Amino acid sequence: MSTAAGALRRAPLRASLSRNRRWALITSYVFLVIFAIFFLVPPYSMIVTALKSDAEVARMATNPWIIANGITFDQFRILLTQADFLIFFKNTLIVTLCVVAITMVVSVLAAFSLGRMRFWGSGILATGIFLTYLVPDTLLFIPLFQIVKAVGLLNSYWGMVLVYPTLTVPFCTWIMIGYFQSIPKELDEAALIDGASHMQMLTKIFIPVALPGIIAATIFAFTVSWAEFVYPMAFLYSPDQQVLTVGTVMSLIRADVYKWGMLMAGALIAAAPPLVIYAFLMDYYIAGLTAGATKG
Amino acid sequence: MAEVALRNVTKRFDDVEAVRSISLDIPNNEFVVLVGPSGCGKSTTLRMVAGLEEVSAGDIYIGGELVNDLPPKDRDIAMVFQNYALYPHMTAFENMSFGLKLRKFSKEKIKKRVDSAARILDIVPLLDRKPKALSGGQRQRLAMGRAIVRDPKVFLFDESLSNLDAKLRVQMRTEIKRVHQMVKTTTVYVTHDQVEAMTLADRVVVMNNGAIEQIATPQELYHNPKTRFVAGFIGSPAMNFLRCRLEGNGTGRHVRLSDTIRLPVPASRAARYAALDSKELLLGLRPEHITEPRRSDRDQAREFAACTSTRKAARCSNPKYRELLRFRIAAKRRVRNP
Repeated sequence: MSTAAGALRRAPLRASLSRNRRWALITSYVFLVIFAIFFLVPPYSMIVTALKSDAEVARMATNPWIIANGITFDQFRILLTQADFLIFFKNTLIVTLCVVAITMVVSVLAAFSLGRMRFWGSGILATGIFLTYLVPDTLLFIPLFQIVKAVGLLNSYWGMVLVYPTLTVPFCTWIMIGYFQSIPKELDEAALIDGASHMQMLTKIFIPVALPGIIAATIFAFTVSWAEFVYPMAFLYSPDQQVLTVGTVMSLIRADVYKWGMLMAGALIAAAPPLVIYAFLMDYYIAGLTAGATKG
Repeated sequence: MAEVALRNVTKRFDDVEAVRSISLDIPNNEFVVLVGPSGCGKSTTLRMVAGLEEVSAGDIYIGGELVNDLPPKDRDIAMVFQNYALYPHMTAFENMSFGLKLRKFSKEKIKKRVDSAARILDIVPLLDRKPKALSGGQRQRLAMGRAIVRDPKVFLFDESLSNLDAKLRVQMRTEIKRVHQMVKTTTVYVTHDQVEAMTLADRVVVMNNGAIEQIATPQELYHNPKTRFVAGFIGSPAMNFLRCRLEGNGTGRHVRLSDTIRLPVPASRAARYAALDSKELLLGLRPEHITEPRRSDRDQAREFAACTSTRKAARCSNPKYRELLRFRIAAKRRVRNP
């Protein structure tokens, strides 16, 4: 009897739960579609424009959202053969790889010491590092200009290798501190007892276990250095030293003449490396790598 | 294999004294269990022996060597943690061999040692698995394997079984004892579970408030507790404490519980308590010592009316007891356990 009554009481509850769930799903999908359209329109416009001829882009009568006169790769060909695009690309690649390497070495070491090795003032220092991230580069470039000039790296992409870490290191360190702190402390104690030095503990235990965090930080550092605009705009002025972001814009916009096709082709090629990096690293970016270390 | 000695060891965390000047000698190959309530300083003591906590005062010796300033890796100890602390990115084999690799053992020797430890713990088929693919009991075995494989001077266990379910805990307890009998090594085991302490230990160290209350064999601890804390802490259900008065009666003595209830003090102890005549004392009475009254005690028995004979013995871990009985003596003179 009581079971039957219980079943009756449960039935409307289940119905109401499933109704709630349906509404939640519908709302989620509506917003998902709106945001997908919002974020996919610019890349679509880029692709369409990059595959058009200059003549078609200039013709106002045609629909800008479709390719009416057939696909052409002329924009890519001209960009890669006649413009300085490849130089910008090479410079950006060198700067980004160096910055990512420097950032990861500095921030992993800093985060390990701040997050795991208890010492006086480590908490304040960790907060201080993060606070430096809050100073915008549009303010920071003025004092940095003096420094870059003083070390003789003005108008050299090596100057970017020097200044970009001011943007990447604080945030990456902050991400890594969080990851390192989430690793159970018994793990380093076990490693200490097993005979590991602090360096061995870092390389053999912490880095493999905190790999998702390191990958997140790497992606962040890569994206920031690849897309940085303010510093190269302020510190670089020769085309042979220029990076993609500023170089493409400066070489393809002459006064009020915009080479839209090439600009879009350049933007597409420039966007490719971060995409590739995401695609490769996201496979490894799995949460819960510490599963099994301790009692779940 | 080595003896461990603690001499007036103290640990202070800022103003709090977690361990207060304790001294302890653990001979070679002995299995010592540190037991006590949460926060009594037992884990801190173990961590000081391991070198994971610095000693505020006093000395710790392992194998006769002063180790106060020695880092954990140079103390030649192995520790099994409460939550296993396995390296999640390594297989069981790599977990066990990590310490040996760091100590530059040859590959053949590492394999030999790991295989031998895995056989002892019956985890040979699991060596290729990562910790997340192991059950709680298997992880616990692996954690023990990681300790055994090093062949250390001292094994340290920090509440190692408290994460396991009741059945597995009993099983692993037997396993730990078996392993200790096979791999004769000095062992310090920390637990708050007195059953674990009583079944595993050669000697039990009962701690309370950062100090040692008593060091004794499980039997000695149970039958001759030195302090009221030990008497109340060891035994399940716990010992009953009753206010009483000691009365001398010629050569014999009695403890008087009420106007009509008095219990004779065994003749062997009567003389020892002479100085306490007429004093208010506490009588400790283990539940199993309360039996059906003998014919001669019938009058007194009436006073022990069992009130509410309720509370099923489910809470009682000892299967010997089927029911918990609560007695009222005269004017509510029952004293609660501390």
